[in-house]
Amino acid sequence: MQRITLHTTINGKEFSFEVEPRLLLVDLIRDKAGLKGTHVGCDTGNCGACTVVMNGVTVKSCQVLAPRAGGADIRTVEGLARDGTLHPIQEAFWECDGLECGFCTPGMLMTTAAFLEENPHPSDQEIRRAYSGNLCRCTGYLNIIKAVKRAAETTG
Amino acid sequence: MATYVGKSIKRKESFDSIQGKNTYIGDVEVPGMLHAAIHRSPHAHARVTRVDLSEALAQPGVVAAMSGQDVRRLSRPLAPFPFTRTKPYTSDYPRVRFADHYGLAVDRVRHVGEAVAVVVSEDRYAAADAAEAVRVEYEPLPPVVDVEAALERGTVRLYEEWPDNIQYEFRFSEGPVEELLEEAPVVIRERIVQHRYTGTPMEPRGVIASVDQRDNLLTLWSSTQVPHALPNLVLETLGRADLKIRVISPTMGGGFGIKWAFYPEEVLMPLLSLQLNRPVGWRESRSEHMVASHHSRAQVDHVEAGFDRAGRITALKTHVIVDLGAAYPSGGTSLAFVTANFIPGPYRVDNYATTSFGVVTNKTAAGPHRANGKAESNFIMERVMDRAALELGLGKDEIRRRNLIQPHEFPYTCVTGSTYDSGDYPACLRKALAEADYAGLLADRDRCRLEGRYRGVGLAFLLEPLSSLRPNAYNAGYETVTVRVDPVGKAWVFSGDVNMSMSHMTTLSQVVADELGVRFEDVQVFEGDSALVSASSGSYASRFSTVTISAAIKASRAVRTKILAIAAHSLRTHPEALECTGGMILGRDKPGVALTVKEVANIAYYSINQLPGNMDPGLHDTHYFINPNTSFEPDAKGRTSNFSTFPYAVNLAYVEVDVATGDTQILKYLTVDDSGNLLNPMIVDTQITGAISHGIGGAFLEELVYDEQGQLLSGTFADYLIPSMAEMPDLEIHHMVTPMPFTPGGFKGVGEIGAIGPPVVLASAIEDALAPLGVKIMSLPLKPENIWRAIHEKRGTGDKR
Ligand code: FES
Ligand code: FES
Repeated sequence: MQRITLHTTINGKEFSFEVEPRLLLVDLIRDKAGLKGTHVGCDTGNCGACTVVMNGVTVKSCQVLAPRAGGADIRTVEGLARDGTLHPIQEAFWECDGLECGFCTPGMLMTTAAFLEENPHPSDQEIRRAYSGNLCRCTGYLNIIKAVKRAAETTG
Repeated sequence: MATYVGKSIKRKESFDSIQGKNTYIGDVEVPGMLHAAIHRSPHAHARVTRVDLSEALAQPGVVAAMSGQDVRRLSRPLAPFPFTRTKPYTSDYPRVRFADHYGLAVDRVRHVGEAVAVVVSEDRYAAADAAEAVRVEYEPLPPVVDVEAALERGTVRLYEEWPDNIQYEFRFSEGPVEELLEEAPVVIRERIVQHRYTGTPMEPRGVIASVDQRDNLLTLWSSTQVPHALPNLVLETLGRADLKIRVISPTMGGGFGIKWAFYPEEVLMPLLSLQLNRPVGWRESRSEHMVASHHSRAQVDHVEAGFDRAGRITALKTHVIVDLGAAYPSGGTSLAFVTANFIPGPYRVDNYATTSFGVVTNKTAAGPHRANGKAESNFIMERVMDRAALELGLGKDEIRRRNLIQPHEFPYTCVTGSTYDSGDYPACLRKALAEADYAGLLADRDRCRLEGRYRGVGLAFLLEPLSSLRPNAYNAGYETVTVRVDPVGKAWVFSGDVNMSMSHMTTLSQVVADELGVRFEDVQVFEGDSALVSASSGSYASRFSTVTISAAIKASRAVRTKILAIAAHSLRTHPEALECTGGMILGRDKPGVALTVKEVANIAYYSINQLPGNMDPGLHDTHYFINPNTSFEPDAKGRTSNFSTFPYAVNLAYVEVDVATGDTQILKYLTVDDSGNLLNPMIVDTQITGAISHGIGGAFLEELVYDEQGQLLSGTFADYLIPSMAEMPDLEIHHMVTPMPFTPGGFKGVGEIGAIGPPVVLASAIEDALAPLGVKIMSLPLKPENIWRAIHEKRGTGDKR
């Protein structure tokens, strides 16, 4: 199969990859860049476990072909903590018990990162709407709402 | 003494999870691993006449492919699960049959999604391509889709060697049920339909096998809740007594019962790895998961309940028909057993008769899902109680109050033989009514009714049998924990349980730190690896806090006794004069640190000349804690007692139904739970909230819909909807505590009861809201279209307004 070369920045680091054009971005991140924190929970773009931030907006990386990430700036869960210090969003999820198995968590965190940049002081209703594309099977969400509000306080 | 137990300590596990550092099954990398992909049946029922692998094998990167015939040549039928033998019972009932299913379907497929061929490639994408290039010829057979039709005489049989489609049968009768029903002034007779839905953890399954030829050691990574059962099951199925098998269950992205099973891929990957002498892995996609991982819940129930004029139950008769799907080793037969045994629930029922069938159909196999059989049994009984209340002109609270088992009756042996451990049911009901302002809600409902708005109050008393065991089965009902203090004074805990998402590391650390008298940070917990302890019953039925925690407490106590004996010997005092806390050994009446645990550990391992006479070196203990309050042996009435503990809850919901759309809005959802002592209240409340969201999904959204041809119509997350944040109401969670009397910690278990409530209490609330229209709710789900239809059927026929 034909292969293409693409350059992309992930968490501030530049990468270049040789890939099949049909490769999904999520597999580029997981298998080529070796960043396993981005997860795959479905194959229809419904669960949000694969959510990353690309050029400042959230994308479901299972729904994006890798070549579209050429020249892009991508942020994943691995880029949240800096120099061993957790990001306030991570702290908030931990404090508020906003996770159990942790499978949905990276997607939730990246959605939060982009969401709070856009809306630093969201209401409960706004949060409920904004996260409808991120499914969690463990927590029942109420602690995630708390965590997002806590993160808004600490980052805002 | 409790420094940590009972406190809302943040989860240890979360530290890795929030950084994306967990290793789930899909993240496990074994050097040189090949990728398998599975070709699955598009038919619900068909003969397989030809499997052509040549085109698949010709694809680039493909190294092997297998059909069912190959698998039959190389292995045996999948070993039965959860039983260790095909004749597990000595009594007449339960009666169970097993079918010969292999890792791949051999000459017949019995559900859409059944594995028919497997291909192996150097590349995961190429493997998926090759699986599509497998050519299979089928001769379709009539599908058996409806579970009641499956029971009719002359219906197609799924397994020709069986006389009918009944895989499992349980019968029980106590007291003159028929006579009492005949005499009863009020008899409720209903047919209840519960729909098919399932756990759908966010992480689908995955299996990797790797063989080390030097040691004949097969290592199997699987997202399984039963890593200790698999070595046996895989050995038996492979027929390779020469192998040693180690099973590792990595960090799990949720299980909810769906990963409590023996799946075909767990024998296919070992088989391929042995053939190819390379590691082989398979990762389930979501679409595969929906047809290849277990379904649950579907059943049709017939119930007759007699009441006297005072509203007391005089007799109960039930017929339970569970839709098991194909007879794979999924543990699904327990659904029929548990449902039938616990329909009497929290009420005094002295006369009870039941027949319960587990019936095979051409659908994906059914197995446990969070509140296995209990969501179903509670739904049946609570619908009956609501109907009886209406019939007798009693309040929903009053009819329950008149039938609840009283606090002085515990431990209470219920009619089917299990012993309810402890509780104060009337107090729980009182507390729920008070917290919710029940009278206020009823008044508000009545006010709204006058305005033409349809609001209703739902009430449900839920009972949840937990921590079960079975004879001659992998869930034998004990748990194994080893506690070790190492030479530098740190505690190591090895448990046979599996951490599905329930924070075992945190809670085991809390308990062991308290029992040993060391710091929480100094406890290290290991789970999910068959090499850690010799055996385990696995993770199911919320048994962790009943048996695993108890085993950890007992093992810790044995180690602490030794620590104090060594310290006392070295300080020339009595162990009773010492206590241990935070890693320090203190004199009970003398202030100041006498010794540290680290110093004692140093003696125990290195200065063994300073040990008291005859004492062995080392600080460790392994404890097997057996499910208390149970018995395998049938009593005089032929009853066994299979569950240790019985947490309970009262749920109350206040809803408004939009009669134009059938849509229900939850205005209030309240629960009062008694799960015994609380190990970590924060974690308990998260578990309850998560479980309630499963129940809300089951009530309103989730449904595995099959058409008449046996095609699954809701096979992705685009049409099998699980609740999102938008559908989750705010909750009011309250607690009551009656400690579990038969365990050292008094904990009961909390993982499942939340999942029982919503379908039950929301049906009650919706029926109440629609009472002016006379709508009766006897089936699930409570999807808007179903409620709308129920409203319109009534309007078309009965309602004259
Ligand atoms: S994996 Fe991308 S949305 Fe589910
Ligand atoms: S924490 Fe398990 S899916 Fe969200």
